Amino acid sequence: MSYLSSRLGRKIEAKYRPAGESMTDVQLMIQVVVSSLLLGGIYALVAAGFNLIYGVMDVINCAQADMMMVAMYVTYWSFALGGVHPLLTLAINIPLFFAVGVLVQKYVIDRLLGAPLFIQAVATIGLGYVIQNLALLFWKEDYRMIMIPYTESVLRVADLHISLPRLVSFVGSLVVVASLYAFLTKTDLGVAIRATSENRDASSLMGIDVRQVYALVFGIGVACAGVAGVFTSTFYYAYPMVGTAFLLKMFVVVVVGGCGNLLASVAGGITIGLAEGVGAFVLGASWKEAIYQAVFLIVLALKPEGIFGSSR
Amino acid sequence: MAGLLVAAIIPIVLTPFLLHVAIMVGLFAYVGSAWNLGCGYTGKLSWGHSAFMGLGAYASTMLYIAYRITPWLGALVGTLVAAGFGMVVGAICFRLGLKGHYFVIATIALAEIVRVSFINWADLGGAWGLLMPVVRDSLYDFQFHSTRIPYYYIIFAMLLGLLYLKWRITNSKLGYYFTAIKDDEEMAESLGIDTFKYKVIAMMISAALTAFGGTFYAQYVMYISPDTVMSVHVSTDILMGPVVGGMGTLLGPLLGSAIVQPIMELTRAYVGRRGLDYVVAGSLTVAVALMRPSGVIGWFEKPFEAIFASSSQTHKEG
Repeated sequence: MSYLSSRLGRKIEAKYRPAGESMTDVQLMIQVVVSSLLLGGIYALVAAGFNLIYGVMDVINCAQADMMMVAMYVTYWSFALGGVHPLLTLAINIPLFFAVGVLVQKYVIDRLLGAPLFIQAVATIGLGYVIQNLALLFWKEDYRMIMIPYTESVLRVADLHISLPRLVSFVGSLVVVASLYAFLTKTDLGVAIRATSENRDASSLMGIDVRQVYALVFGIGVACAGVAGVFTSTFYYAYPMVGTAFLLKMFVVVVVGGCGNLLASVAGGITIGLAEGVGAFVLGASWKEAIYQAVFLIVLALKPEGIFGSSR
Repeated sequence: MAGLLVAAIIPIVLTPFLLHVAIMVGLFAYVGSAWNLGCGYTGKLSWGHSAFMGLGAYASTMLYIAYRITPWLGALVGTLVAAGFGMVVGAICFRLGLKGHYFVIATIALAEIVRVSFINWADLGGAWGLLMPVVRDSLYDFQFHSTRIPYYYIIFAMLLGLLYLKWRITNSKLGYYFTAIKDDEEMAESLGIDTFKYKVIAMMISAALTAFGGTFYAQYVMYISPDTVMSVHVSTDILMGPVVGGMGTLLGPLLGSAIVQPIMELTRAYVGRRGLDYVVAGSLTVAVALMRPSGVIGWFEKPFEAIFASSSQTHKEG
């Protein structure tokens, strides 16, 4: 790894290598892969809600990431003002964001169904703009981070340093996506949702209340953003524009994984997490946004239905 | 004609702040129209026009800083570079046959790659960006500090030129091809039109014109950085005018920009807290998308058509 001798390489090395200890290049690489993998799990959760909404309702919710930003702030303020442990905020965020989702579906999205794609995108981007800038208005541009022993604890596993909040978030994200998948495949309600996604008119004729299914799906999708916000705030800063970076990533994860397929978005999340982490390690951290966009374009060119998706 | 006359006289009576608002309206009407020209013709919606604007801004600013080449020539270089990149974007997106969301996201992806490349390009100022050296007012240097009125007339002329160009294209063979493609692409293809070629051409024209707007922005604001001229937010700003006014219409972007920009500038100036400007503009965009997806121009169609009809007659007479 000759690039490690470069200035850039040393900078990255310093970031990943704990002070006062020596690590071989192989160990360093494993460290990077593990860290990126953990991050990829969170991307999967962030994208899962977006993907569910897209798959069932054929709506792209560009405000999804900004809702996650609000969830990060809810977590931060519960901690800062009430001293609530970030993970306990899950109990607030899941019902709260489910309700927000149902309301947004009822008053905004419902009027957009069947509208041209671009109008949907413009409306939800506009909504995201409003949320983002309300956050800027009320909470300023400060970067806010929850600093407690939990968010700073690191596990040592055979010379590897694993951040505990990232590990918990990774496992938590996979559990959420897996239970969502089980819900969609094993329960009657889930089957109704999938039927609606296959054919709206036929399900409507079979007695499924499509509007209620949509409210439920949008609620669940936004609740995913609520959960993702809690997890993300344990290892990342909350600031008003944090959604933009996540939104772009969300698009890419969904397309790379496969549209409308929850498990594919897990694979997509991990692919993008790895591409970003390893790419940043090799080329330098400032390139990471370009790396995952390039991966996206390559996938689009070679396998537009997504690496793990079937054409729909 | 009366509208043109009012627009020509108005800067003399405006206060400096209102003049600034008028210039921003002009700039976003211009880039919005340029965006509209490409996307209206191909029926594909680009969310990556910030890259073209940024390339235009960087080309002219860089050439001026390094060699003191007049930004007017720099703008020409910028339009060529942007047209080249527009060709790449068009070639990739249209060759892959991207539709719907995929096209939108792919344009964002390409623009992001450009932005990140510029952040990493140390010779071009990297993430810090470039500061235009301040010199005395002159048309050669494209800088006017004692009064902003020249900027107003320049953007006004650029906008008129763009509208004229669009009118000329619409009534040319190229325009007929574009219309055919927009109405029914498969039909156009079966009639022997090389739809791929003409869609790429539309994208290139739109890119080049947007880049010129980028040069104007750089000369007006005197500072550019990858985040201020190339981020996704810039693309959103560009398309807010056409969306609010009416996509695919001749005067929609102008009307939309005349609604959105003053609201944003006024909230910025009189409320003074960051964020409210976009809260208002965003709410307006959502409201228009929900209630009037075709844009507000419908409410004004008759008076606007009358203005345009008279001006197009003038062209024919001349």
